[in-house]
Amino acid sequence: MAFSSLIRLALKSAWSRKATLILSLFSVAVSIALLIGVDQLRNHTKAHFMNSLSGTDLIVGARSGPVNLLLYSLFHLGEATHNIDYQSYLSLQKMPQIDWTIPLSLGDSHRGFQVLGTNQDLYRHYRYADKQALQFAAGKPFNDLYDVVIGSEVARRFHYSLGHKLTLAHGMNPQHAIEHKGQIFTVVGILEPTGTPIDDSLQVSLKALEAIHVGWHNGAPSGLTLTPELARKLAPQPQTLTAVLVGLKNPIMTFKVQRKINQFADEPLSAILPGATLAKFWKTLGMFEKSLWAIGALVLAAALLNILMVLLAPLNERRREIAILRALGCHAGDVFKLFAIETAALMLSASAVGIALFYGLLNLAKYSFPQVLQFMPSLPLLTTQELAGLGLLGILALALSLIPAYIAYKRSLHDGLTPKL
Amino acid sequence: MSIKPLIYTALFPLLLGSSLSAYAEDEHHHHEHGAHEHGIAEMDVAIAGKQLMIDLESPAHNLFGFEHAPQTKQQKELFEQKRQQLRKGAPFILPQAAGCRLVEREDNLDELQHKTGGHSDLDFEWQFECADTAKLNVIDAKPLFASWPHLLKLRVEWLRGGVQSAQTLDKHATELRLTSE
Repeated sequence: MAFSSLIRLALKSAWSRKATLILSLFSVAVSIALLIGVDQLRNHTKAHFMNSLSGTDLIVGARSGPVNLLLYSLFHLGEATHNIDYQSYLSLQKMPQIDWTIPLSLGDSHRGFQVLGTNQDLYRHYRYADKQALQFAAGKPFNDLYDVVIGSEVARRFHYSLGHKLTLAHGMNPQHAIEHKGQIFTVVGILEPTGTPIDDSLQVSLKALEAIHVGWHNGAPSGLTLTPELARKLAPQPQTLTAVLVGLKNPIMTFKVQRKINQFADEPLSAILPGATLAKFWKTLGMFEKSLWAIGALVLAAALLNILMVLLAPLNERRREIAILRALGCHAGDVFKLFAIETAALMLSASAVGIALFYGLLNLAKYSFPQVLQFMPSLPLLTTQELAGLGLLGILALALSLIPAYIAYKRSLHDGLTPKL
Repeated sequence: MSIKPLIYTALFPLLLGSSLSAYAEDEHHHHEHGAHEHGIAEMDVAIAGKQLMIDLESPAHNLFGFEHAPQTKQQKELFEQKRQQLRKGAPFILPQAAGCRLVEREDNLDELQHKTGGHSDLDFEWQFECADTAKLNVIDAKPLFASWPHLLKLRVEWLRGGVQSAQTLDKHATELRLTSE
């Protein structure tokens, strides 16, 4: 029989059993979506984290867990750490082994985006990906107290351009943040996209953060607000910082400087190696990832068994169908092909539905947890590894389809046309 | 059956969040530099230019089984034997091709002799000069594990040429792999 008519036959036969087939198609699709999702998430998280760290030898913050310090200071994830004294930052700068520092002060936001208090050293020394420096798409670094530089994502989301006026809010949660009213900032610079958390941040000077919090006590505003003119004149020296990024003259001194900072006399500090901390963090996440994989693999195994079941269950009803085909001169090999075509069609559509489901869920998750998943592209390309996995899955399913095909073929020989009593 | 994976996928960010804070907690208890935990030691490896620097910090217990000045004849003998052995060289196997030569070593073993009670940490530092640090792709700590009978886990942080990473070694996996990934 011609292959094209076999395909037509197989699809028509499958269509007559569509209810059960579509259900099993979806169970396979869901597990495919899950497996692709886990893999994509791992790849992109890793790339994102790695890209954000280039050339920073140490991160210094208040005494806390290294992972917490890393995630909070650089990626604005997890719990806030304590602040360190501004004097400690000044002492760090004086250490002879230290080449450069970038101060970071977190805690304020603008419409859900992190405000980064820092100084111009950020634009001078921060490096990402392959030792790339920050580039301005428009404008220049902040200079005045009420200047703000915005990341590419902030500019894109709110269509801000140079000269736009905005206010900052205390705290991160957009619903509960208290607006710093009357303190109007002007956008003076917009950065090129970097693929790092800088894209999702607004940068102002450390002094600006001090100025807008003048008179605040325990995180609550006071009646006292400075007029911009007064603030420019009186802007107090910063008192505290969240963390400091440190670059050394010679990286071989990293551990020595780390020990020195950890034994800092004035206040308990911890210095961490961002790369080494990240490596340990992956190891922990690795276990979590494995358990997700295991769930995915089990669901997939169940789905494959399900397919086998869906092919086996109607064999009794299909006895006639196949016997007639055989009687009409359908070759034994054609019976196998019929089952293989049905399985292939099932797996192809399951893969398509699974990939679509993955994209759908990803964008749903991106919408619900924008801060956590901001680094995921909306439509990430599948890796060759993932495609190979899908191919392997198809082959496995085809191999499984041999079982019902063989049974059907055997039966059609023995009792094909004999009516059962 | 098909709803469960959906839930897991949707919950992933939440699970991620909670595992982070759990991990941070764990870090705080066990991983602070200078923590004193028997069976565990911390090692730093730094490579730059032609230099290789290895620093080891470990509870004295991992080497001797006690943390005070040696008292009995047996303890004194053990102390002497270990001290001689450790001062002969570095307990690591480095790749021949790297052509590394020990140029300086330091330890605080003698401090233990004046120690009467409480915890006691040992500190070692080895400095090598290598003909070609690019060939330095693996450091085997087998001799270290062989001569430190109570050492179970060695937590290593290492760096080279802008790459930083970490690995934990034990008696069965003694090779530190100095490659990214």
